[in-house]
Amino acid sequence: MKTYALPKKTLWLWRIRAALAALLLIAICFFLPIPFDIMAILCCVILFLFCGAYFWYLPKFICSCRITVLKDSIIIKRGVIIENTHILPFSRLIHTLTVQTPLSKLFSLNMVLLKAARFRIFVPELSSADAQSLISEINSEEIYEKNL
Amino acid sequence: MKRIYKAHPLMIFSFIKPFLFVLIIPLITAVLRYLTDRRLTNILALEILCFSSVLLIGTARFLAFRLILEDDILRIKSGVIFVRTSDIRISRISSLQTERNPFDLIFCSVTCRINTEAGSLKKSDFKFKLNHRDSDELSELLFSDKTVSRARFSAIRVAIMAAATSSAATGMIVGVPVINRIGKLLGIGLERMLLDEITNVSSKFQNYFPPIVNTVTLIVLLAYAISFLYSFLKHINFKLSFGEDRLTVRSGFFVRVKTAFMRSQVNNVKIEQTLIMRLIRRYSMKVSVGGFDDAKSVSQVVVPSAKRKAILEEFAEYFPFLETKGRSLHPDRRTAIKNRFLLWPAVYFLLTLAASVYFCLRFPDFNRLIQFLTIVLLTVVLCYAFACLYEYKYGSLKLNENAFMQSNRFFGTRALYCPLKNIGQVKITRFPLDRTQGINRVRITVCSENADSIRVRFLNHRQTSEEIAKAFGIEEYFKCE
Repeated sequence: MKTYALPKKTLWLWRIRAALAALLLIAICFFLPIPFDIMAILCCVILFLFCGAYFWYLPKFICSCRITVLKDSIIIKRGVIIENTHILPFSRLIHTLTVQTPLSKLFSLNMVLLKAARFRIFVPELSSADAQSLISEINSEEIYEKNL
Repeated sequence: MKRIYKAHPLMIFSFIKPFLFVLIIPLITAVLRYLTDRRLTNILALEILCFSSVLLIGTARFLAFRLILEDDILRIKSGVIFVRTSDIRISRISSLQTERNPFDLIFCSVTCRINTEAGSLKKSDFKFKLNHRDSDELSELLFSDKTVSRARFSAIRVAIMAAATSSAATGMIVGVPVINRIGKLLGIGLERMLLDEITNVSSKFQNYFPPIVNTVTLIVLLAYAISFLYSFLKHINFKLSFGEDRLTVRSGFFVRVKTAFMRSQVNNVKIEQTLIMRLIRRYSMKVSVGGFDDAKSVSQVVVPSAKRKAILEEFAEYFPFLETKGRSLHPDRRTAIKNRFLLWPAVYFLLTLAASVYFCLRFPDFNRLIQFLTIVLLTVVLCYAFACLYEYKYGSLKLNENAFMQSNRFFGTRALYCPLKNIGQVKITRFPLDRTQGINRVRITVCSENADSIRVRFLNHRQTSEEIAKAFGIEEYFKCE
């Protein structure tokens, strides 16, 4: 049994994304043809949500993410308010996909997508080394032969 | 033994079918105009040229098509410029579906669909036209198995299924484009005429509610009738024959469809009940076969309608290898849990009432219409509460070498049987209140093109974890937790 946790860099990556999203929403509010007081309320709500995500939700969410590779299946647990546990038997896994955005490349992080027939499970950004290790473990000869 | 099959000449028309509205109908119209008015349009020559080339390409593609059956490999060759050859191991074929419409009956042809686990959803992997005799021979060679038993389902059972599974929405989806096209072809405003007639008829009914209610009710009833008729004609003449491993389903009136598949290729079996079926205590059995059908659903009806005892007997007869034994998990039998099931129906009920009172006070002129809408919404909420109560009483999860799950689905119910190895994903969700009550919600998705899934709510978390750990051999994970 091998367990992977998300690195601290992932938290910073998501904080930057949240900040960019908040800035974008505030910018949209400025361009909307609405009265100033409503715009101010909207901006305050966005700032409040951003602060909540930055200081409380994102650190908790990143801490809650656990990826456990067992001999026959992979288990992904995550969630702060709503806790989700996904159990995916290796025999049903079709392919794995790693995604790197320009921002995650700066932090040397990789997002992993596990694709089974008609559904996919997304693993938030792991460090590149961990992502590679996870994929090689899933695609290892032993697991492949067992599932043939 | 090597067998080679050629396509039926009607396949040429299948190739040129995509150009029907943009090329063929304008060309026919232009030719007719020339014959009647002696008037030539400027683009007729171009149209004739395009039509000839499309026909030529279609003929070449028809001539190039070959189906070769050699040992345990089926080879499908198609294409003229881009030649495609597909080699499929016979054991990998999920199902063979043959369809005969009235044209096929006249020309002794059959539309064949070969499906595998691969390919895209809602689209058969290989579709072609064969001679009727060739298709029978191919079916025999692919799924050679002696027929052990045959069953024929009466028209009444098919009608019950059609009545219970039809909906006004389906009727509109099927009926509106047909009416629209007929109107366009005849050059008359058919929709307008139909709507005027409906308004005229509905105005003759005098009741408490405003006339718009009558009109809408009549439209909904008409759409439902269309949907019923469509479903009834699709499933009438329902026959089932099965051999040692093969299962063949035949149905249809104008379009006769025959589907053959091996029982071992079945991903999962569903015993379903719609709201109407629940009221008359009937069930229907469907199977999900890999890559099956190019219609809206990838499942095949095996038993159109039967009582609970009869359907369970039929299930045990057709799919004995899917029966599950062992401990069954149910939602916790506590008042607090029962209240959780009824929480959302109660919230929706109160919201509907509150909204109704508000709108009645705000728009007093529309009181009668608002009252009608409130009655409709409250009925829907009550149906939802009825479904939630079913989930509380009969929701179940059983994991062994096979899996059995039972819960509600929208307003109906669903029981799903599948081999444990076919389970693609298990998702355990816990809301904050679930954590304090020690319960969870489990969603199991079957790994198939249809990805049938079922959710059982408010199971005991400790017991569920134990069962899942035992079934999937992941005890060490839950021990560490």
